[in-house]
Amino acid sequence: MSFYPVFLRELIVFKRRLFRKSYFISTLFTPVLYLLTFGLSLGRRIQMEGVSYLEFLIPGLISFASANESFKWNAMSVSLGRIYYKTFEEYLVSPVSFSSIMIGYCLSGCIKGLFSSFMIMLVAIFFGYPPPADPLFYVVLLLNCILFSSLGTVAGILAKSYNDVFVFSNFFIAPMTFLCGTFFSVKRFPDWIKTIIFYLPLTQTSLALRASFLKKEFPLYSIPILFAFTVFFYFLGLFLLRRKS
Amino acid sequence: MNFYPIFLEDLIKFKRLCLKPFFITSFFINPLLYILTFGWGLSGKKIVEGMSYMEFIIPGIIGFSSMVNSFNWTALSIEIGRTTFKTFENYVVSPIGAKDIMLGKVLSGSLRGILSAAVILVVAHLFGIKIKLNIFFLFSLLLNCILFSSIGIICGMKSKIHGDVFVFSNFFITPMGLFCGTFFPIEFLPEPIAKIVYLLPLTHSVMCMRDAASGNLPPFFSLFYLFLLCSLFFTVGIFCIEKLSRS
Repeated sequence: MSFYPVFLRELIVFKRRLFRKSYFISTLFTPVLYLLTFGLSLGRRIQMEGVSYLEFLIPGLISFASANESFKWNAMSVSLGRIYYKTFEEYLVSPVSFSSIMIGYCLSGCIKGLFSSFMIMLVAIFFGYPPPADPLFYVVLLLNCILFSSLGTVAGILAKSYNDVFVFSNFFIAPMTFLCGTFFSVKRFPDWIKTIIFYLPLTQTSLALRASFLKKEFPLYSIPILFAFTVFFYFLGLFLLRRKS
Repeated sequence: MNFYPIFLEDLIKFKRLCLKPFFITSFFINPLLYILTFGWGLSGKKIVEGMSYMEFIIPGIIGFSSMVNSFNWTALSIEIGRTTFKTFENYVVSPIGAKDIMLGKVLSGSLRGILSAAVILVVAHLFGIKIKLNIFFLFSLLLNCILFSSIGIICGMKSKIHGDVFVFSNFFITPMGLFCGTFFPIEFLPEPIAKIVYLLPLTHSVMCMRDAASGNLPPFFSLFYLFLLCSLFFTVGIFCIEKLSRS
């Protein structure tokens, strides 16, 4: 249970920040804004993969928001704690093991990802699309959040300066969140890119969430792929933590 | 020529920032992703009459990006200069007037907006989209940049602590960038919302740029409206700076 203090600390910070308008509007509101913009305007006018664009967009935005939010929170929190406030050192000198630090961060990042996904589901209810009852939907969502919070932790540990996080997020996370089947069908890509894109974790998430949301055949292979990525990033984080200290 | 030192200071800052990777990526990554995602990802869908969706959104994204860049540049530099580094006081005590401070800042903000527009034009060219760079296009782009640089200055002057600018930017600038006819014609919106959106300045500058880019004459009412708002916000900006200098 020694991960609990790490987890609790992040939750307290989250709670404080949640009610500040700058945080709430800027980070949690952006995906909702996308949903409102494209849902209201293009939502029922165009078709994508045989369904209305709105139906296509909602699961895409859920994966967009959960990945983005889990990654950003952890990357910022770890890099700021390491570089500016030096609070990260407190964890290292305290009797908390590296794996507890990793677990604590993964779980707390996961909470933020889930929170912003639920915001979108809430807005989707107003558009007339209630969240699906399929348990696999939530399994994939949870895996996605854990995956991107471990990736965020890895980026936070690797960053040499505060800006490195932005570079990493601009180069990897932003393209991934826009192109991995979130806003448009991955079938549009030329074949060779399609193969690469297909194995990126976010593509798997958006395909699986969409299948489950639209009650189509669920791609069961997504879960092991996502799981493998999660385990890989988790151990990568653990390895880096050990090496850096 | 009193505005020149202010302008030069920003130019030097800008030159230094340009050597940093985070700055350069932040310059083009978002517009590029918007072009890829919506222009290319949704191409082939029948969305607007008479032109491809890519041709439709390029002027919109230029308006969006030049607005965000002009606004952020002036708003942040004034806000940080006032609240954190206190360099803004140096302007106030030096023998330059509020008009010169305003002019210098607006020029540097507009320069940044125009550069960001140029980046998108290059990308659009790579995608094979022909944009007619006539005098009307450049004029509406310039008006858009000056307008949002002035709003940025007012915002920077009014903010009390570092971070207030982001609230304004997230509350007004980003939603404006998404709704004001950038990604879809405003007629797609429900009637009452469309009427409000029609009053916003970005709607008009995007409309002008889109007409100019396809070789038509832009609506003169919109140009006039933009010009009016420009002079209004420019004057309010001068007034804000003057008020600070007196106190």
